[in-house]
Amino acid sequence: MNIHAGTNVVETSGLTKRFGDRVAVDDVDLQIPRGSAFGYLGPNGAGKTTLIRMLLGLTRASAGTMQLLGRPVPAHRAAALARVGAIVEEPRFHGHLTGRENLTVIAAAREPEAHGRIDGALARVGLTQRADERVKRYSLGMRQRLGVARSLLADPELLILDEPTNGLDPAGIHEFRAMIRGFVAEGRTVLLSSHLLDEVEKICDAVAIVDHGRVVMQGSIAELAAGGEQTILIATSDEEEAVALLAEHRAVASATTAAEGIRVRLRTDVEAEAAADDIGRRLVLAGLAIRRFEPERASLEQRFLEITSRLEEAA
Amino acid sequence: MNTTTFTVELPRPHRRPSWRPRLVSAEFLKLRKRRGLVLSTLALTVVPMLIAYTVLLILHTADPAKHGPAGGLENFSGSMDVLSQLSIVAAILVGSTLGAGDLGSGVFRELVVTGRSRLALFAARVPAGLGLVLTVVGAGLAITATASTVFAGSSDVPGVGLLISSAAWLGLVTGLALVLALGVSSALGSRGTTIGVVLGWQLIAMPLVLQIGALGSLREGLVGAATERLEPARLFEGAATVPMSLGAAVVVIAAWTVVPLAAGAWRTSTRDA
Repeated sequence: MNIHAGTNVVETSGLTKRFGDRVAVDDVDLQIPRGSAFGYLGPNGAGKTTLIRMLLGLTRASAGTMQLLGRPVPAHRAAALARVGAIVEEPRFHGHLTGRENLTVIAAAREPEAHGRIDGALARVGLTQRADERVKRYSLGMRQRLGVARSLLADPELLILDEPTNGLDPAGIHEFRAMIRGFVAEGRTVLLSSHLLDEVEKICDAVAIVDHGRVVMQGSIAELAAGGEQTILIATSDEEEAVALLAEHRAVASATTAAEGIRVRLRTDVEAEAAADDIGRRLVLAGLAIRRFEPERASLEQRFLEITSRLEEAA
Repeated sequence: MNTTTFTVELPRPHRRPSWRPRLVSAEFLKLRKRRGLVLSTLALTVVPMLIAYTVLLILHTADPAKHGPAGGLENFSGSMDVLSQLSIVAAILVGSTLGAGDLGSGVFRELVVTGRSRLALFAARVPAGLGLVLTVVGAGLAITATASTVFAGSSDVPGVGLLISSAAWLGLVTGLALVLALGVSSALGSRGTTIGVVLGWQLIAMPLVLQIGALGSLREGLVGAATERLEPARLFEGAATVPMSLGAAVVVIAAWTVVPLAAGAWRTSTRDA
């Protein structure tokens, strides 16, 4: 594989898609850095697949510009897509053909070298033994793997995977995640669209959160999670006194007692680590024995729910 | 003086890869692997000819006085009449499958994602379809021609010239039906609808319209009138239903080739995949 240098493999500006009065993708500016696993995360109906379909030339954009691998599309679509592999929604095949024949059909539409990649792609996804069976006998998991094999025929710099783990069993999902990370380790870029927060958090380095067609937040997983609410779970020898002390602390937004201890919610405008250090110090100085002191890092899921619930409230 | 020889491997001349044969092969693979389709086309072309000549042979053998030889020009003419109609049906089945097969299975989207020109994807269907349907129809014709010649007995034998012109004419009507079905199917995106519409047009509506004398020269625009004009003279007796010049027939056939293909290509290029 020959990975070309360059900063972003996907760049969109003001990308919009309307179906009549309905706006499916609304003024999306997206930058996907090369060599990363990038999650495009949003609830069902948020416009994820529509954006992917526009990038791949399956449907036309109503407005805006796009670049794939540094080439403007749709103007240079053929050259850009030559190094892009994609699974859009459920991968589809000719059921009356074998797995190998299905790959032959797609390889015929790609560069001549693609045909020589068929065996390697089948081996990569563990389908060599079943390659000469008709696809109509394949399970959903096998079809997903054959879809990945098909996308590898391009020797892709960019892999676009739309909800790739739909319908897979837990073992299949685990295997799929490892495969995607393997692609990233090889220097390929993976754009993964999903409504599953857990999946994106486990696979991706960076994420864009999309809702109602708009990208509402974009950045690394750590950055997005860090931007959320910070809490500390504290258990002391005297909870009443501790709550009184905490209520006076300038960094504390609220302190409530729960079964497992006191849940301290920090203000969003304070530096969480320094605030936690100071709170711990004050409790000790007040003579309280600390049995538990557990800063809770907000997960992407909490952050996602925060963002989307805020949007719903605003609406 | 010492000399040193350097051997330099010259780069091989760069040849631009040819896409079409691989795309055509892929289309042909998709078609020939459809067992039902291949068996149907065989059942429409080869099997009836085998049955017809077997029955004629048995009848002639059982009672030569009552039933003439199985072969000969007359039976060849009758067989060609049947074979041409059945070949049209076979071509419509193949053409409609070609036009809507990728869409129906969802693979059209996967092909578009490769970045290949949609026009190239569409264009590859034509030779692939012709390859299959003409092979099968050719087999039916070969049976007819052989049986007509071998079992002619004392009857007139179809000459080489008639056999060649009959083959060319059969290829023409079959090819026209294929491109019509392919174009309509690619435009509509539905195999079933295309089969219904094109079969109804070719086998029922168009022959009826050709018989409406009140339409006069308007009927010259129908492909059936043009192909009838080009029929080998000795193959079917009787005057043409719609008299027209050779040039007009060629123009009409060209139009019935180009228009369906253009419609199919346009829709293939513009539809959401």
